[in-house]
Amino acid sequence: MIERPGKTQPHFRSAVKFLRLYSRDRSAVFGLIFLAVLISAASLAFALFPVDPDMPNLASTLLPPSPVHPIGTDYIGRDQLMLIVYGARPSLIIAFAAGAILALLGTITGLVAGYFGGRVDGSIMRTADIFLTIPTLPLVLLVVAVLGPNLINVMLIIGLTGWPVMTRIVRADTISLMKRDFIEIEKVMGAGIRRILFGHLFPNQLNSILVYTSLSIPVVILTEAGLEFLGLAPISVSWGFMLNTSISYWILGAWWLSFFPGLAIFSTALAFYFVSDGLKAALNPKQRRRQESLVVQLAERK
Amino acid sequence: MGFATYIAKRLVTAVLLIFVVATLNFVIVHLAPGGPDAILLNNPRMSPEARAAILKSFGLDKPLYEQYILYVGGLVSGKWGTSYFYLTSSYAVIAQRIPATLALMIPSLLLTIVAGIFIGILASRKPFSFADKFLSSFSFFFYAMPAFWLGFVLLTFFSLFLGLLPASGMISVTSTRFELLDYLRHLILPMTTLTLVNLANFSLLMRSSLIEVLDQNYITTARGKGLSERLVFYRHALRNALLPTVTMVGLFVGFILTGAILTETVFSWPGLGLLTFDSIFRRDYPIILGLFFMFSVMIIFSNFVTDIIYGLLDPRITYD
Amino acid sequence: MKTSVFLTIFVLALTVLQASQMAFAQQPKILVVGITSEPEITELNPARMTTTYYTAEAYPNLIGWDSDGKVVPDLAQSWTVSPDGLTYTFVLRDGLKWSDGEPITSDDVAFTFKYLTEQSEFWYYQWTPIQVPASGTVTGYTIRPGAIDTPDAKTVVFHLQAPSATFFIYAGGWSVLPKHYYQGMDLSTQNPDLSTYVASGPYIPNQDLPGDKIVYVANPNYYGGAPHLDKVIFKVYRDSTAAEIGLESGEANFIPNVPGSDAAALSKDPSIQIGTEQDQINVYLTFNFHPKLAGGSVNPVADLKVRKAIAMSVDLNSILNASLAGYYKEANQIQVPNMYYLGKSVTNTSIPNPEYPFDPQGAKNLLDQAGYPADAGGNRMTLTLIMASGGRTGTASSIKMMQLIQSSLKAVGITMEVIILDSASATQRIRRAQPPKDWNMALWGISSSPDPDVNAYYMVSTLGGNGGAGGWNVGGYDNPFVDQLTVLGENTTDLDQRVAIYQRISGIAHDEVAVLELYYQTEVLAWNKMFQGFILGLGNPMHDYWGALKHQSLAQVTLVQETTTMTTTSAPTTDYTSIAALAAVLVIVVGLLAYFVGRRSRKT
Repeated sequence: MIERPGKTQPHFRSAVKFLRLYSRDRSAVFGLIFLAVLISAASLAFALFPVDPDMPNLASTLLPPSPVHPIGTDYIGRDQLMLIVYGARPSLIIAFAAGAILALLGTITGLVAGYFGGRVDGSIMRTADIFLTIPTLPLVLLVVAVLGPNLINVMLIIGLTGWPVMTRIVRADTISLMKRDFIEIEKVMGAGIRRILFGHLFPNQLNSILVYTSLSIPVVILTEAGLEFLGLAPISVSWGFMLNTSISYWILGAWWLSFFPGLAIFSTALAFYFVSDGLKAALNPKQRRRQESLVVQLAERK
Repeated sequence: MGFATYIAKRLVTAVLLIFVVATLNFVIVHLAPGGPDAILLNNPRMSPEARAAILKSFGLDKPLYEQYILYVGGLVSGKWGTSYFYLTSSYAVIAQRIPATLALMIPSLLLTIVAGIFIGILASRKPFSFADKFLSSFSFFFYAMPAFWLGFVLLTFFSLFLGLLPASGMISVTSTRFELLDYLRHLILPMTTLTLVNLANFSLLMRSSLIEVLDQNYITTARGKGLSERLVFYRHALRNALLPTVTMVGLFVGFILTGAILTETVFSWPGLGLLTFDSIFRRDYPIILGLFFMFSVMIIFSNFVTDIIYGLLDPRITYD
Repeated sequence: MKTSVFLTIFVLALTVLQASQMAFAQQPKILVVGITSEPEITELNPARMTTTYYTAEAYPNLIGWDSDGKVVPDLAQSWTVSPDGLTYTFVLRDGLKWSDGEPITSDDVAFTFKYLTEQSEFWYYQWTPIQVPASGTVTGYTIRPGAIDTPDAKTVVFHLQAPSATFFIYAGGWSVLPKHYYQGMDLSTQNPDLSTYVASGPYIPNQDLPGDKIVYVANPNYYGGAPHLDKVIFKVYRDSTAAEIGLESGEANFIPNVPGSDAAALSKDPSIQIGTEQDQINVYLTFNFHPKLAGGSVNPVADLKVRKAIAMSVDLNSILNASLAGYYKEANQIQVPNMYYLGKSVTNTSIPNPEYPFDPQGAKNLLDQAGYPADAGGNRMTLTLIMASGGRTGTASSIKMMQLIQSSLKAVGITMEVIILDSASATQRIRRAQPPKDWNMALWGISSSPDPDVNAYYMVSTLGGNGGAGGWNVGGYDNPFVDQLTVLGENTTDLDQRVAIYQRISGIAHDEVAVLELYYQTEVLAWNKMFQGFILGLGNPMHDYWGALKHQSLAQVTLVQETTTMTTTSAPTTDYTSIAALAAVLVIVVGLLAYFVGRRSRKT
């Protein structure tokens, strides 16, 4: 059967259908709600807590959770709930930025590799292999240590070490799409590379790309938290850094200093996992792929 | 194209890859502001002659390309330079730490595989049931958790509050020889942390392959033939489902290394992870380069072995 | 069925754990000292060490200092100085022996001085004095005595080329090395082999497991009598919290470097004893003195008015109290309080304490005068402060301190950005970067030596390349008059004149706010009461670290209470309610598991 040119998947054609498929997965719904609340709280941080997040209050240092301070205060008397909300920003910004970088890099390289094949494909995949074989955390640690710890470096490095997985997936998708008739037809009709790549190949993979990007965000969050915890990404109000400083006050019994930031990191990562699971179910309901299990994707990513 | 050529090709790729990674590491290290020798010359009271002499003794006064050639040659021959911090052969320092990391990695790996497979089996019995969801969530739960946080929570609870387990190290400070029970006591917390965090890799994979396999025709046929459920499960389904899981072990080395760094730091386990962390902070570049070389060899090698095993086990793979 | 299997295993495991814990006997008479950073391998190498943390136990010196700071005999029982100040004679005690039985003789002393001087290419001994010949230009770092005589086995005579104000202190404080062990060893390329180590202190290093611990064994030949313990182990912990956990759980017995804020929590434990020693460490904020920063922007703190305003904006005492919980001495000048020259204090008493009054309004006025008016939002300028995490200036307490200073400055309209870097990055940016550098202020510190010259020379002079890149005067404070005074101080031996010189330098540094003094470090130590006999504050407070671990103190330490359990009385007694709760949770979880798993269902 000759396929007609154009988009072959029903994506977002029916938003209602998408929502219905998505909401079949309860955990995905919870995840989405959690993230929505988190993101809005982070953006409205200043409205919610109209105080300078750096302002200490020596009279109320290290108070345990209470009605006034739901999750306690830190070592200079700042309300921890406020710190968690303000601290969401760097984590979310880095998560989305690094995610975008690796999605972009991965998509472009995957498309190019899949389209051109041959040597181009080979060299791209070899490069990807290099990044896959170097263990992520030590490499990120080293680069950040060497080049200096700041927000931009962290974003770039995490994004730059994460693209190979996306590349593999996009490349595989591209190759299988290339075999479809409608691409042949386009070529015969003289369509240029750009039209094929951006007009056909890319849009058809939008779903997968979206899913896998959302899948890699939790890992970005955890890596970045790990960096801050180890002392290499000095952002004064961020979850990982809160964990870092909390250890010194642990002997004083201030368990809430380490418990809640850790909980925040963990819940956010979990929420992203649930959301990506839901997205996968909603966007690719019919696709069956060998070894599509979540954990293999996780495995290849981490 | 035969299997032999497949192996040969993979081997050549592996070697090339190691070489490229080593070069990349060299480049990164030399991008450091102040140069790789920055940390050596920290003492303000050092005279210029002393400075020059130190640089010379580490071979840092040679031109860059010469250093590079020495570096590459040294990697292969085991001469990984002199550690800036320990002032002895980097190779010796690294080699001394390997047993400790293995002593943590191997039990954790075994426990993760066993527990993962067990949980995967349990979960696949009735897919999408509450039990399945519970077990899958359980694995996932710990997978999303920052390893250092989990380690610290366990440490706080079991070591400080309950006083049951030691807080750090591999063996007691005061012991002069290795005692099994002592080692086991120290092993429990870090091993549990590592296992919990990596459990999902195996349990979820096991579960999904089992579900997929159990769905196949030949299983229904076997049941139709009247074989007991147990036989069907263990002889047919499990064996086939184990295949992708086994190949996962190869990829696993990478995760364990990352986990090791975080876990060894929290528990002061004197292994490679801790050495990596400390060396990076100290900018002890000879050790860093040696460690990275070793890590990449381990990972590339295990990928290579995985490819071979996979190629052997699954006749559907084409060798190209 | 499965539930009971799980339960049985769980209970068995708990039992085994408890049993092993009780069966595990701590070897008797070992003192475990918890240290919070891995010692450099060079710390046991006499030619390359930069501190005496690890050699003070093993190598007595010619002279020592008691806890009042008075010079007392150590290996040398007496000494004389010739009237012209060119000849120093030391007489050793009788019957001194090295750990391998060989006698300690004047030959060893002469050898030590010659040997360390030869190895001087790599020798940056903590308190090497600065030799300044009459020409006034600083040339080298070591004093090279004209000759060393050994008329007999117990007598050593030093002939100096010129009278020296500092020779006695420094020479007396050097470790005396065994000639027969070190002869022929090139310490620039190798470290001493610990398994054959020869020393004379009560405990000498025997084994070093990198990243883990250093083991010292008892030396019965110590001149003060055989020590009471079998071993002293220095165990490396990641940070002070880990060390405190170690102390509380009984794994460690003695920890120095306790952050002040934790002292109160530790002292609540009835089995833990807290003590303090006054360190010689001066912690301060240093300013960048270049008129423009690396990026080309104007550097406001190069203006004296701005620096004064900053000093007046902070209520130093309350900030210090909040961060250090009272364990500190408020600093007001560059010399530490117990700094003496030949018994006379060099403290400049005319410098007020606090250095500058806490006067935010006055600060605002000064800033207005300096040309930094407040804008609509109240902001006058933005400054950058860099600090290192870890190291001499501490971490959690320092972070807290900087954040409190940050908010104080905010109140007068100065926005100060605090950048926290890891130690190596911080050193790179603060010290090694090329001037003019990219920061306005940095948290810095210095540890003194037995003589006032170090603080003056390294903090506020530009001599010998110490100003600017690579030097300790990281901000580049440049005052030619101070430089002249520093040179003069090196060459003057007259008591009153020399003291006056250093007081003058301190005064100038104060007037010009060369640095913003913060505090003089008080070291808090905590140990398990099972171990008694520590003498705190021993050693010249100016140049000895861990006085309580110096050989005279360590030799006295005894274990008063033998214990056979791994967790000692200091450990929290096993909290049975927590265990019960945990067991209940686990049973419920396992039960749920079992319930759901036990239900077998046929596949459709």
